Amino acid sequence: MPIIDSESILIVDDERLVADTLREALVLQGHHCLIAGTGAEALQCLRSTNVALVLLDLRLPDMTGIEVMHAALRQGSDPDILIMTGQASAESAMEAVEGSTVGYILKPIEMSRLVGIVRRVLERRRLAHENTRLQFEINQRLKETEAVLAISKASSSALGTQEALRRICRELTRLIGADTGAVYLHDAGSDQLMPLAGYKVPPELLPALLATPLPLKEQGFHAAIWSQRRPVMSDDVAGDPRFSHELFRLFKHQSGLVLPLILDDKVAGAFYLAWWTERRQLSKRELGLMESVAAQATGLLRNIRLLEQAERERGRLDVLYEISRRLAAARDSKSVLARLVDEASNLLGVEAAGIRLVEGGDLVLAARTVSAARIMAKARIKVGESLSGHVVASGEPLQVSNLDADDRYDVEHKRGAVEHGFQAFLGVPLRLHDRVIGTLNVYTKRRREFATDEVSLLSALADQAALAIHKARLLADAQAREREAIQLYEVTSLLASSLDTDWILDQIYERAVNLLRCDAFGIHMPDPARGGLTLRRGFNLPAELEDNLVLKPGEGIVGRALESRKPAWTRDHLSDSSLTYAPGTDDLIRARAPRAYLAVPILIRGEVLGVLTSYFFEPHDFSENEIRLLATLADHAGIAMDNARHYEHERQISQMKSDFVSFVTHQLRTPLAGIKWMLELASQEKDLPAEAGSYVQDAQAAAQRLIGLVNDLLDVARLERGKLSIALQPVPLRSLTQSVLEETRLLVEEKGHRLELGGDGDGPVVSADPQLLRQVILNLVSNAIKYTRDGGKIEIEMREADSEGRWQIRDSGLGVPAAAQARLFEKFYRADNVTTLETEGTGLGLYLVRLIMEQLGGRVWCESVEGEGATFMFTLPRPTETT
Amino acid sequence: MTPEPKRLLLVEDDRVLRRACEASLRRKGFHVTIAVDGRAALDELEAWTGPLPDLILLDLLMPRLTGIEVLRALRADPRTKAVPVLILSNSSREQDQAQIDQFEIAGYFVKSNLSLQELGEHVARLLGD
Repeated sequence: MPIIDSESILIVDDERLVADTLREALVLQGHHCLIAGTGAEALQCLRSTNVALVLLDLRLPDMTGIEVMHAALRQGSDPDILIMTGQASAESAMEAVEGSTVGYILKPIEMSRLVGIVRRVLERRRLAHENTRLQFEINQRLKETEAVLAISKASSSALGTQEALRRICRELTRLIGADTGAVYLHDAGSDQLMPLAGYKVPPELLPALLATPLPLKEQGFHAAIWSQRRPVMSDDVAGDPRFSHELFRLFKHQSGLVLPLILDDKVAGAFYLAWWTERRQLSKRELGLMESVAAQATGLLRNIRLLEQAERERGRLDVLYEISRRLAAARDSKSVLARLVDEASNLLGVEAAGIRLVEGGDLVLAARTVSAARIMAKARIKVGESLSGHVVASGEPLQVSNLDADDRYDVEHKRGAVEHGFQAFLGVPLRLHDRVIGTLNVYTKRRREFATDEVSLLSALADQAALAIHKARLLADAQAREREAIQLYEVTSLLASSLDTDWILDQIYERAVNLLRCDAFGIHMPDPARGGLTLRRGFNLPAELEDNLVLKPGEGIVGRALESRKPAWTRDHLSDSSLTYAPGTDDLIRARAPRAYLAVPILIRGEVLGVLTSYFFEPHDFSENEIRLLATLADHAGIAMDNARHYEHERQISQMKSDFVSFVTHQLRTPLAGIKWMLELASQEKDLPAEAGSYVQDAQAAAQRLIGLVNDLLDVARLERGKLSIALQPVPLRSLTQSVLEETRLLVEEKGHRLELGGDGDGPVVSADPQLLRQVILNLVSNAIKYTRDGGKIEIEMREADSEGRWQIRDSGLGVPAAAQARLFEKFYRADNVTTLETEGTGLGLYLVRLIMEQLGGRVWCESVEGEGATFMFTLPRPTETT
Repeated sequence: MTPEPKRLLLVEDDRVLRRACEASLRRKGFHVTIAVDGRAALDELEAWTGPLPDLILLDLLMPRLTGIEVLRALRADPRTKAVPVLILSNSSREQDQAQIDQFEIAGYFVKSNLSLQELGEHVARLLGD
């Protein structure tokens, strides 16, 4: 682009005087003038100097002015030409003007006219130049505007970061006229510029370009980009110490521009533009343009990042929602946890994830992604061991961004992860009710700092996992409780169904293993012959234990339960120093007993009937539930065994009673019958002295009384034991009463009583056993006769009332004191006042009456005012149609 | 003409009861043969000459052979199966019921509740006097 100020005016004339004169005049006007005497000189001058206007004489020594003009045009010089000519050669001048001259001036030259022409020519030329420059500028702006428009379009479109930045890179490359371009994004974890896309990168170089991150810190241009955030340009990349990375050697080019993308005061990425061969330098304006485009791209990047973040948030919410929805439906935690670790690895963009749960002092693997199989290989580790253990022990999220370099945590345990190429770790605790129940871990093969929102996302997933586990545990718990309750119910119903101790023990040991889910089970019972508890029943226990184990109070867990009368347990007897044994027993237990056991005494009223023991072959922490369950079983066992004991006792007593009844029956009745019969024979002897006859009569009465007493006792015994066979049938009360009165007639007559049987006909018919009812009526009639003073009055009445037959006997006797009425029907009870009249009563009669009435389904009672006689009544059901 | 006296076989192990019973029944004109226990009763019947007894009075609880066993043997023997048997027991009827129910018997009495007078009347009634 010619610069007017530095242009000169060339005067070509072989007449030196003329040339000088012209120069003088033009210099006066402020122009810079050169002089050439020949055509060759003029052409030479045009080549080496910027000449705006040539004042050209047509006649020169070596060539014509026309020739010079054409030669100048040929050699690419571009001055305006003013032909100077004499009158004589006006034709030539005309000819010249037809060329590309601005005009001609006739010699002798009129100076003022020349100056005017020169000024107009130069002015026109300046305008033309200005015009050209403006034209160029307008074109340039147009190109830029197009580029920026394209960039804006790229920025505002819904393209992903990569595609948008690739397009911006393309536009930048075109705009600045570079040969090729690439775009990088900054990775915070590694502090490197990671290649994202290239434009017009030769195919053979593209893989290397895309595989090679630029470590920002190692680059010479870092300082400029980092602290000043300015572009870095070099027109000699190979020789520029700032471009030290091997990529610049591999990727041979002349000029290069690093254009940083600054986001929130940080380098978010960069464009790299390259020129293969051109030594390119950028004007201030170009640099400014580049920076403003970079700023646009940064805006784009921000928008995209926000969009991506929003997308990610939405994705996370979707996943969280989906997970919690699944949780609500899931019945087992396993599938939920498996899905959860998959989601965790997807959401955080990591390669592996897993969950460990606290179980006692251990951390047990609960779920892991397939890829985590190598790093979370052990099914069980200790709390405190490894990174997981740290998370659980501290209850805080833990991240390690460079596992290889880290030496703060368990070096031994992270080695697996490092060996398999994992670089970074993030673990968050699983919390339930302020308790850490496990850890959710993610591992990635990139060095990486996890952002705060990523940590909180993982924590949200961990919360979900904890909830899932909690829910599954509650469910499993409820199911287990239900199963236990059913099994317990079955066992206890079974136990309650039997009164045989051996059978009860069989049931307990056969079912306990299933109920308690233990490995083995034992029932220890006191064995006085061997001086301690021995195994009466053993399930899954070594024969040596069953045969040889004898435990004394306080010895081992079983002895402790026996002594303390409380449940006792050990998670592992081999490491439990609180347990003591007799020397031989010690060896036996160490060699043979399962590792963990729980012993619960079978207690009844403070007495230990035995000890139930559940065993596990491996160390085991007994839960409250297990203890409660075994204790419940022991309670029921105790009750069942106690019942069996009582039953056996009852049975023996019952047998004794039965034996006694047989004894009384036979051993008493036989001599009584002998006495009775012999007295009867004696009383029939002729010639018996009257005195002796009366003795025999008294003896007969005494014998009869004794026989009656024995009969009553037998009846009571049989009725009390419910052994009496009862034959219910319709019984007419009146005829039965009459037959009893026949039997007692003599007695009534003896005492001078007046006895009335009221009513007529058959009287009510009741449902009863005639033998037993006869006994009732006999007893009541006898009592009325006995406890009424001689010459008394006795009335018997009977009637039907509703569905019952009612019978009553009223006497004019002593009556029953109010206090005695309630107790009158008790065994061996006699009212105080009766002994004044009759001493023979046994107190069994009315008791028998009551027992019989109860057996017959009737009711008997007494109404009396002492001294005014008594009324005894009974009611009995009338026979139904079927009887 | 005086009818042929009815023949009774009295099976009773208790000496006093046996004596009282025998005396009372003889006084009433019965011909009474005595057996001191169940085995003796079967032996007696085995050796019996002439018409079989019209009625057997049988105690239940006896040494050697119980009344029930005697009853079973009598009912199993075609010769004696129709001879009526009156049970005189000193147990309660309930205790014996199950065992005696399987046999046809003429009656059942508890000795201590029975007077000799009543026994005589029952026997006479049974034998159609």
